[in-house]
Amino acid sequence: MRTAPDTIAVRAYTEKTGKAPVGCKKRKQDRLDEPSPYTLIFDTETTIDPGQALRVGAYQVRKGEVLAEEGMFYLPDTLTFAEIATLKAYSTRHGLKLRTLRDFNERVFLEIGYYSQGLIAGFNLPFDVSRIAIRHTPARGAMRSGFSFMLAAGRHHPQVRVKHLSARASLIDFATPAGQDTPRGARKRGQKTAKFPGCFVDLKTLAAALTSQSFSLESLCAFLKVPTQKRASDAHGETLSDTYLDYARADVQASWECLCALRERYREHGLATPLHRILSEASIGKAYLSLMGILPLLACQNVARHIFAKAMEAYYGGRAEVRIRREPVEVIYTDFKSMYPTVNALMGLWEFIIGDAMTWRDSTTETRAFLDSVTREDFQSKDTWRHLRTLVRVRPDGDLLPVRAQYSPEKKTGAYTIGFNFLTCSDALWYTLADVVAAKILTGKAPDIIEAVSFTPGEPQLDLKPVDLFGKPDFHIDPRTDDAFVRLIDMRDEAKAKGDEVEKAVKIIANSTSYGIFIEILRDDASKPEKLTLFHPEAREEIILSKALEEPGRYFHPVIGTLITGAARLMLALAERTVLAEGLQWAFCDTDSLAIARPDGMTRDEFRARVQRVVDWFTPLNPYDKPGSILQMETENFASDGSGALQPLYAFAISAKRYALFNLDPEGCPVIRKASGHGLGHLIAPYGEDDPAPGIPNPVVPLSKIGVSRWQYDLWYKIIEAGLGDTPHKVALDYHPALQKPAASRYGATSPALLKWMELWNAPRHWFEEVRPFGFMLKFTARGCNDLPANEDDIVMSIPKGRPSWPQTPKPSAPFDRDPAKAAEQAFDRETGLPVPVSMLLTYDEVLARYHLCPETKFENADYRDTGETRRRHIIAKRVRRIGKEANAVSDDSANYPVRKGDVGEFG
Amino acid sequence: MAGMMTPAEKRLERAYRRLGTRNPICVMCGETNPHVLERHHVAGRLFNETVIICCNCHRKVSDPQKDRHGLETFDPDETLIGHYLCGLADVLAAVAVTLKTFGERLLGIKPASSDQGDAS
Repeated sequence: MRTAPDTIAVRAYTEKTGKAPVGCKKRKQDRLDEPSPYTLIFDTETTIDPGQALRVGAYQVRKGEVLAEEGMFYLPDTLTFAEIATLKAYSTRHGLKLRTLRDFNERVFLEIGYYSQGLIAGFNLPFDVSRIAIRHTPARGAMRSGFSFMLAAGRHHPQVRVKHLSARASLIDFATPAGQDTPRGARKRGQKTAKFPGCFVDLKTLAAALTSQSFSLESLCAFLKVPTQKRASDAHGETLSDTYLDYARADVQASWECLCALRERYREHGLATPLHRILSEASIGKAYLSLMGILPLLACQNVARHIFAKAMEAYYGGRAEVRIRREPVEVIYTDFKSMYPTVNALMGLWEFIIGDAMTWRDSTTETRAFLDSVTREDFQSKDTWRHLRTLVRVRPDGDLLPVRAQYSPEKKTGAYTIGFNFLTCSDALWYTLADVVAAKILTGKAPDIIEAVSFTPGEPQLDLKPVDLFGKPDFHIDPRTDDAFVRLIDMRDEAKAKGDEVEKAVKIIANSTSYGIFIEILRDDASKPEKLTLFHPEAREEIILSKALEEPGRYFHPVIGTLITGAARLMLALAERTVLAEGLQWAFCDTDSLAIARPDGMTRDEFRARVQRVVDWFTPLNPYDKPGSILQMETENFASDGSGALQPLYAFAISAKRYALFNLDPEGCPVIRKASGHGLGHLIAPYGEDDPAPGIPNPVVPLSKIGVSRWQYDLWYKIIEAGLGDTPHKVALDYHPALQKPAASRYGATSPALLKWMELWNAPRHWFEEVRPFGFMLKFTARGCNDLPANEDDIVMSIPKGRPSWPQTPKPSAPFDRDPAKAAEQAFDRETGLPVPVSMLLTYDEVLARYHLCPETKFENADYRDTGETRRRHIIAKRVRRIGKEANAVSDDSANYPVRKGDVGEFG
Repeated sequence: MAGMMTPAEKRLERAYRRLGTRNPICVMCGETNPHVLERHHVAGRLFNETVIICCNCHRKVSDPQKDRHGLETFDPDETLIGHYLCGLADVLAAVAVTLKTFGERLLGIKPASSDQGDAS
């Protein structure tokens, strides 16, 4: 049995000493933040070797909508004389301007983008900028952990800085060049010309922000239905031809049309934020709050920071757990409608958002009385939820509460994860009242409240304004009289009922304004420790040194963020208790969803009737116009033919967020309806959709609805098949020959730290053969030198302490190749540079061998081979650590790569 | 096909950047040509609050500031507010004259020819 952790962690609140958070500051008005009428759109075509050096590029300069110049540019080092001649002839024939890369950078890119303050646009702009750069270095200052690209020699030319934020977004700006921007006369009059950071639009980023979807250029063109669709080409890397140059130009034309279409979509919102400042859905949310005249909390009030410290200590994320592990069980899969907007509305948190301040008071006596008397049934009344605007300090004594701990200390990542456990701790800790109520409802026992603080919103701000979303009166919101969260969901329901596509845009606005922006903390890693002020909940401050710098976002309001997640956990607890009260069980839960399980011996009709009663229990809490319960049965419960008939659905859950839902066909074979790609997303697909595993039936439901790619679907099929059979521990992974190949993950060299992987590989190569920033690399996993798989939990656990008796396991990387098996032949240890033979690399079947056995370390009876009902662990905490936000994980365009060890700032 | 940016357009862009806006207008007289517009420190050069103003109005409104140059109190906030209010009053006083002149013209109180030259 695993040992329970004895150290828990709570979130701390820190600020850079002597520096006010961004929410306190008024936006600077003296800086030009609107581009000139000129726009540069460009695209690059590269070699197909790992260096992906520029060969040829195409561009358009537009003045407004009118084409001012169209041209091509090239890098002479990567083209033959014949290809250059082809390019020249092509350009002459089509009346295009032909420039060398240097000429393009100085006379087009910098001329339009910096000196003429135009807009620079492209698809996947960081990659293209790195292709046209003549040099790159790590960026400093605010853009540290990004890159600085030199486009033209000479310190008087600005460099372009790019900092990767996520798979969908990067920050891009011009660094201030050497030299004087302010004319002498102006300097004598005490005036200073503000720096110009540039206006960059990455179409990938903008499209994701406006639609909440990820696109390639091809899929974006199809989605927007632009006149010029992206063409396919198999001539990459071959001798330049007219056809290939047509393709390159068409890409730029398609990009321009996408920019126009996205700009039009954005214009419909009527937001004041310039287009080039939209980096995510959260940008849209903030822009709407700004449009309604809503000022951030910190702009209205200098909140005592011990309040923030209390709120952050009480902050935990959504609950995700497995109760019935690795056993197929019949379920009805339910989900709360718009959980965060719903709890927002029930607690009346909109009043805090529009309030000009916030007050708080000691409410210990009344909160104790409330907790003593409150019952589950009381929470069927909306009024009861308004009592939950309270934080409480408790001394946990075997109480069921959220706990943040390193449940898997043997794992190298050292990440803290959140569980819902029985906790005993000699230190008093802050929690939301909702969490303490949940403890009482689930166990009958609640912790004693030492202290309680209740919050009251101030008067509505004076400058609030109504808005019409998309300029349409039907989508009117008046922040003074409407609860915007309720209004947005109602609007979405109405639009959906009419089949109006605008419902997707409304959903984005609802999601982006209801939670994330209030708990947004931007994490930065300094090169050396800097002074931070650590605020303690007991109104004490401490100056510490740390490299983990945290900056609250503009609309940071941790009281709202913490109360929301606490109330969501309570809602899930109410659902769990109601399920148990009906004599039912549950298989797993995930933030706002709950799979209700049919107990053995209960008939299906009885099961469905009781689940319906559980669903109906939540009907009185519906704050929306559309009638019905806020707890809904999801589409997976109904026949996939659209008939609307309930169909028996089964769950196979392994660990938190790792589960599948399926029906059984007449032969008893699984028909997968939903599956999670958790723990698989970091791997490159071993085979494509056009090469499926023989012997595994095609999915009945589209893969996009199931939520996984074909190879992941095949894996889940085999896991479920084994689970239904006699040997559930053994999943045969010989169903596709591609699984015998080395398992590879793709990484972008999105930061200097990642690019360092290729340092030894790059060293002997020409500059245009080097893997450069935003180029791709592959990572493999080596077997331990004792021939056992590395990074395996039980192997690591069984290693005796002391100096290991075998050499360190290599860290294999390779330059990118479309065929990872081919790249594996060039694998090298990124620390020593020594080649790593293919035989040392773990194959897909080895990496996936224990996927279906993944332990759920937060629970007992949840180790590798355990099945059935899990049991909550009792954590006896001897130490409480204060930590910051986890760093942005090593990014490979997937969501599931573990945080690097040491990436959580520990403050005490 | 329109051409690339002309030298005149580039100069205009530099002016917009210097002023920090593409829609500059003198807060006193309504002049909009960016080449004659500047930024005026309302509370004096030691404080960063500026407004956009044309060269002529700038000279007019900077003159009274010279009489308050160097004045300060023991409270830096009071000093800032004091300079700011005085500077604002100077601007508003000049605006008031312009508004009155324009209003009188609309009402026909003064002939149009008396609007030539300095309104103050």
